[in-house]
Amino acid sequence: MRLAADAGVPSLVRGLERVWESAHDEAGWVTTTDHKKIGARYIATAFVFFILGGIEALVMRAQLALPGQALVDPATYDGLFTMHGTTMIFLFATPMLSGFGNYLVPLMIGARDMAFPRLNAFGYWVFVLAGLLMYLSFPASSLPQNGWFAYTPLSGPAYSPESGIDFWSLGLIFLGIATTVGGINFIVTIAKLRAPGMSVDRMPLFVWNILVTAIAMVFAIPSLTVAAALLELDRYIGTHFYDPAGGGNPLLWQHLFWIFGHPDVYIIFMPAAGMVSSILPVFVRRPIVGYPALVLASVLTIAIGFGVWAHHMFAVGLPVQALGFFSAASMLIAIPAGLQMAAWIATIWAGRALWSTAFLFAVGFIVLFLLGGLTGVMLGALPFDWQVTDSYFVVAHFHYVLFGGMVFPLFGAFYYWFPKMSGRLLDERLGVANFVTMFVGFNLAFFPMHIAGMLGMPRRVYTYPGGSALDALNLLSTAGSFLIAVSVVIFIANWAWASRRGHVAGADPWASNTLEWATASPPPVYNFDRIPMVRSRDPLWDKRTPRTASEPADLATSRRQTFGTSPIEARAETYLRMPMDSLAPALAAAALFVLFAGLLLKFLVVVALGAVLVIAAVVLWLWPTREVRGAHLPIDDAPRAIEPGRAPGWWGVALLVGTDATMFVALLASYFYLGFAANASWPPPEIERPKLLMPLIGSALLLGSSAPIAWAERAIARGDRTRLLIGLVVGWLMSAAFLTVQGFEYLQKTFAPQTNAYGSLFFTITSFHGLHVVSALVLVAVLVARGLRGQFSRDRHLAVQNVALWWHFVGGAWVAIFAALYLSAQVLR
Amino acid sequence: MNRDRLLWLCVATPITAWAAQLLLAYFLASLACFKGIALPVASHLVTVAALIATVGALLVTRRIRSDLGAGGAFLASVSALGAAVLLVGIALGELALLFVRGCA
Repeated sequence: MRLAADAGVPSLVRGLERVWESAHDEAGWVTTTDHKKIGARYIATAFVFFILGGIEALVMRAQLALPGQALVDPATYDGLFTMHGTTMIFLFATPMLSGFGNYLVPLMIGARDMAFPRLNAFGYWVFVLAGLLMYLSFPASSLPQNGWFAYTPLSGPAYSPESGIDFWSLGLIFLGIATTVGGINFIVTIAKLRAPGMSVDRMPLFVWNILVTAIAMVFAIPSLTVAAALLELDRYIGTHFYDPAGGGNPLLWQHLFWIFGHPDVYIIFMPAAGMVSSILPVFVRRPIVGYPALVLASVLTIAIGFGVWAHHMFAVGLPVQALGFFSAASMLIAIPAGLQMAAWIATIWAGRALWSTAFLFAVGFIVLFLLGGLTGVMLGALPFDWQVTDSYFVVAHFHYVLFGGMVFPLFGAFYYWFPKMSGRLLDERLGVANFVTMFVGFNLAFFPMHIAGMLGMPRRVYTYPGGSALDALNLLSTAGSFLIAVSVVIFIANWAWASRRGHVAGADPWASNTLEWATASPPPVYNFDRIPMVRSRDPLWDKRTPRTASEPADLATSRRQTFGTSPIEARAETYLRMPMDSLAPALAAAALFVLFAGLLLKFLVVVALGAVLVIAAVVLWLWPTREVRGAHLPIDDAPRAIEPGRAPGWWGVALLVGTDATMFVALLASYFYLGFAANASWPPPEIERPKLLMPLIGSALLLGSSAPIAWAERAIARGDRTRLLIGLVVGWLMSAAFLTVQGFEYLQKTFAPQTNAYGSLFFTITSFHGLHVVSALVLVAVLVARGLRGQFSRDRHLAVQNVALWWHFVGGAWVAIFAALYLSAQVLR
Repeated sequence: MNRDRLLWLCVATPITAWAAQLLLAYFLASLACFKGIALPVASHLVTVAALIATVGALLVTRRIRSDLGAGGAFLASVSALGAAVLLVGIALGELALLFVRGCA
C-alpha cells in the first residue's frame, strides 16, 4: 500500500499545499501549527536539554572519579544533581517522547494534523519557556539543591530560604500546563482522528502506548501541580501544608509527589516501549507477536502504576501492613512487564533479524530493561528495599529502567524515523559505533553502582572516603559516563553528516508496516493527499489493493480538514474543520511566562500584568476569525451540526474537566490527610466550626446558576439567540453573586491561611475554586459578546456547549468542597 | 444501558475494584495504627467486594463480546484478560493482609 503524492491529481496536491502551508517568513515560523514542525522542534529542544543534563552528569562523575576531590563544592554538586534529574525527567524525556508523538501520531493514524493544532503549538512554547525559567537559576546563581523530588521540609522556607527551589517549583507548575494540554491533545487525536477503518484492534502499538501515556499525563500531573503550588504557598505567604509546627505534615509532599512520580516513570517508559514495538517487527520481517498482550500490558502498567506510589516511601514509617499491600502491588507490575518481554522476544525468535542500528538499540533495550526490571522487583520487596534505600543501588536501578528503558529505544527511533523526517538515511557504520559505545559505556557507568550501593555508598554525596572498593567502582562509573558522551558525539556527527549527505531514503526505506511510511519522506505539509482506508493491523504489508476514504476534493482544498471518526471502530463521521495558523498560542505562552516570572520575582504588578495578558491572549485565541469560521461537516454532507457532545472540542473540555477534578481530589485528599494526621479534632479546637448560612446561600446561587446556563444551551440548540443571551447573563449574575457572598464569608473568618494547616487548606481550596468561578465568568462574558455579534446559531454553538460543561463542573466541584469543608466539619468536630 | 457504555463500565470496574481495595486497605491499616481503631473484618470484606466486582465485570465482558464490532470485541478481550490479572492483584493484596501484620 503506497499513498505518496499522486502525480495524477496535481490540482488536488496544489490545493492541499495552498491551504496547509505555513507562511515562509519569520512570522510563519512562530505561528505555524504543523504537527511535524512542532514535533521536530520538541525533539531538537529536548535534545539540547539532554546535552545540558548530560554535561551536568559528567561534571558530577568527574567529581566522583576519585575520592576526596574538590572539583565542585558540595552546594554546586547538590545543584548539579538536582538540575540533572529535573532536566532529564521533565525537560528531556517527556518532551522528547511528546516530540516523537507529535510528529508521528497523525501520520500513523492517517490524519492531517493533531486534533487541536493551536494547543499543540501552545504546548511547545510553554515547554521552551518553562525550561528557560528553570535554567535561569544558573545565571541567577541560585540553583535548586533539593533533588528532583524536592522533599520537604528541606525544600521549605526554613531550610531553603534562597530562591533556587522557586525556580524549580514554579517552572514545574508552568511546564505541567504544557504536559497536560499535550496529553489532552494526544487522547482526542487518537480517539477521534484515526483514518476510517483503523479500529482499536488495528492501531499501531506506538499509538496505543502514546494513548495510555497521555491518559497518565492528564491524571498524574495535577498531583505534582498541587504539591508544588502548596510548597510555593508555604514559602511565599507562610501557609503550613508541610510544616508540622503548624499542623502540616512533610509526608503530604511525598504522597502528592510520588502519586505523580511513579506514573511518570511509565509516562517516560511507555512511548519508548511503543517505539520498540514499532521497530522490532520491521527488522525481523514479521508482524509483532502478542499484539493483544502488548496492548493489555500497556494499559495495565499505567493503571497499576498509579497504585504503587508508596513503594518510594517504604522507609518513612508507614504502617507495615500497608507497606505489604504496596509491595504486593509493585510485584504485580512484573506481570505486564513480563508479557511485554515475552512478546518482544517471541517476535525476534519467530522472525529473521536484520541487524540494523535501530534493531541493535531495540535489542539493547530489552537486555537493559530486563536487568532494571529485575532490580525493580528486588526493590519492591520490603526487607531488601530497607537495606539499600537511598544508596547507589537505587541510582543503578532507575538508570537501567530510565536510560536503558528510554534512551536506548530513543536512539533506535532516531535511526528508524530519521529517514522519514529528513528524507535521508543515517550512516549505519557510525550507527553501530554509536550503539557499541553507548551499550558498553552504559554498563560500565551503571552496573558498578549496584555494587557500590550494596557496599553502602549513599546517594547525593559529593565525595566519599578513599581506600575502599568504592574507589575502583567510582572510577569505572566515571569512565563509562564519558564513553556514553563519546557515543552521543558520534550520533551528533552522524546526524550532521546525514542531514546533508546521507543516502536519499525514499518514502519507505525499511519496507515498513505502518501508515507514516505510506507518504513521502519528509512528508508533505498535508501528510496525505488522500486519507487512507485501513483494513488491517499492518496496512503497508496488506496485499490487498489500497483504498482511500472518500473526501470531496473541493472541500479538502478549500479549508484545512481531516476525518473525524468514532472512537472504537473508527467509522467515518465528519469532515473536521481544522484551524489556521495563529500567533495566539505563542502570545498566550509568553503571557504565562510573564505571570510566572512575576511570581518568581514576587513582583505583584508583573503578576497582575501577566494575568491580564493571559486573559487577553485567551480571548484573542477563542475569538473566531474569518478563516476559522465553518463547521465540522457530517460525512453525508447534510447541512446540520454534528451530534452534540461528539466534537473533539467537547472531548477536550471534558478531559480538562477530568484533569482539573483530579486537582480538586488532590486538594481534598490533602485536607482529609492532614485532618487524619492531626492529633486533635478537625477543624482544630482553636478554630470555630464553619457556619452554614452564608455558604448555603452561596451554594444555592452557584448551583442554581447552572439552570439558566443549561436553559441558554437548549435555547441556542433551537436557534433562539435571545434566550441564549438571557440565560447566559442570568447565570453570570448568579455566579458573580456567589463570589460576593464568598468574599463576605472570608471577611467574617477569625482565622487566616497563616494561622495553621486547616486555615491554609480552607482558604486555598475555596480560593482555588473561586478562580474557577472567575474563569467561568470570563468565558461566559466572551460568549455574551460573541452572541451579541450573532456568532451562534442552531448549527454552530459548540463554544456554548463547551463553556456550559465547564460551568456545570465548577458547580459540581463546589458540591464536593461544601461537603468536605462545611458539612464534614459539623460531623468530625 | 447500551453495549458501548456497558463495555466501558466493564473496562473500568476491575481497575477501580483493585484500586479501591488498595486504598481502603491502606486507610484501614492507618486507622488501626494511628488511631487505634482496628477493623480487621472490614479489610477482608473489601477484598470480597473487589473480587465480586471484578469477576462480575469479567463475566459480563464475555457475554457482550459477541455483540460488539471488531474493535469493541478486541477491547472486551483485553478487558477480560486485564480483569484476570487484577484478580491476581486483589488476591496478592489479601495475602499481604493475612501475612503482614503490625504497625512498625
